[in-house]
Amino acid sequence: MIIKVFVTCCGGDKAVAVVDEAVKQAGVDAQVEVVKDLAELAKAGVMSTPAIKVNDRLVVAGRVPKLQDMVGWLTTAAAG
Amino acid sequence: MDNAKSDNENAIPSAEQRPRIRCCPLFVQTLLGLALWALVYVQLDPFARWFTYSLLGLTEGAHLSGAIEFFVADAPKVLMLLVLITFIVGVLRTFITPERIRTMLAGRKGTYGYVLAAILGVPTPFCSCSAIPLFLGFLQSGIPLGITMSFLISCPVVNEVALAMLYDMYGWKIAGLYAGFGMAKAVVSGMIIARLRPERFLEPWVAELHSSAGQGTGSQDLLISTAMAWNDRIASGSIAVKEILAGTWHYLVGGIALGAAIYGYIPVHFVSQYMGKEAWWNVPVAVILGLPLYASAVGVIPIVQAVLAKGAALGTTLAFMMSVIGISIPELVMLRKVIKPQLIAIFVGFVALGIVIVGYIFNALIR
Repeated sequence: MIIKVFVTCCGGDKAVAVVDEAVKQAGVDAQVEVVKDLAELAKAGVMSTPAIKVNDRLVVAGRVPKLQDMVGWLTTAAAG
Repeated sequence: MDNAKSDNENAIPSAEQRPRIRCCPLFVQTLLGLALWALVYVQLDPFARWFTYSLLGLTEGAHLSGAIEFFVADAPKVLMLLVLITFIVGVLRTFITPERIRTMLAGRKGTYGYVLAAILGVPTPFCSCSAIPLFLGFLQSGIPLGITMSFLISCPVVNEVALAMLYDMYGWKIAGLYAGFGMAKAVVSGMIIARLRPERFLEPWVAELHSSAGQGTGSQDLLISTAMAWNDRIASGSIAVKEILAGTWHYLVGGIALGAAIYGYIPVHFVSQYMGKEAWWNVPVAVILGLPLYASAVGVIPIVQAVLAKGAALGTTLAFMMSVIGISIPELVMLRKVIKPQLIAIFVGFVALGIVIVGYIFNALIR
């Protein structure tokens, strides 16, 4: 599974940390990619950061998700 | 109770689904917090009087006692208002997400679009991180550049901190007037900018994004705006408050120290000579000095209050405060990645002009 974390500045590091921890806890095989490029951000339709896409599906934007939520999204994505 | 039980029995593991029962403690907590807030707020004035005159035993009318009463009552009062407003705006923001604003603005071309953009700009934070994705998202969905600029101008010109201060010191009429002028200004600026053919000032890749607008990203909107429970909304409010307090406490300490110094050592005639109403030139000067400076609102408030208490004109002080809080160099550097210097200059120019106008209006209105 491919996880993209879109960051500009606010909460970017925190979001990446939550994703990394969630990947460990959910035990999924994932490739985490941190996207900082504005053009790519716009093309992905992200309007507020930090934003996270799991397998090209936007799961959260504009806030750092809770760890338990993130684990839930990863588990769902792995099952589907 | 039954509700929570049946939810557990059905046991569909989903991150978004929360039993209703878990909402209540937080809801009660919020109510208690608000009640406590109101209690402390109402008691601040009597407490300051008691603290200054009974506990410290200072005589009324003396210089030092005035300063102490001022800092025990007035500075915390405005900071408390700031905390309350930050909380409310933090909760509101979970409803007015950028994605939703985009949906609301898309396809609006007339005056209504500009007015809506100006209104929606007020509760939106304008920081270097949020502005750019927002800007790109608007353009990508085909919202005209003029309307986008109205939105961008409304963010720094109508400032919730200034609103809190005005409400505290002069009542809701003046505060409302301030918000009204600010929004009217954002609407007019956006309309003028639209006539300048601003599209030519976009960076090429952004212009391309804008011209190929409307190639659906709309389906994602629903997901984000419906995914939040009330718990999370209230939590976002608390997080916003925590961020403004935890991230900016050094500004607060510095601001109070500087405010106290101004209050104690700078003579009244000095302040009223340079920052009073008689000096007509001080509004633009305050804006020019304030634009490159940046400080958090919580740090600026004690300084502003001290200067006002020393006889500075309200309009001039507001102008300085708005330009310090409103625009910062890092923001402009970020903006430069998507628009050319000409449009940045136009943007800064309109924001500055707007602040100057607000300054003069308030100097004329308030004695």
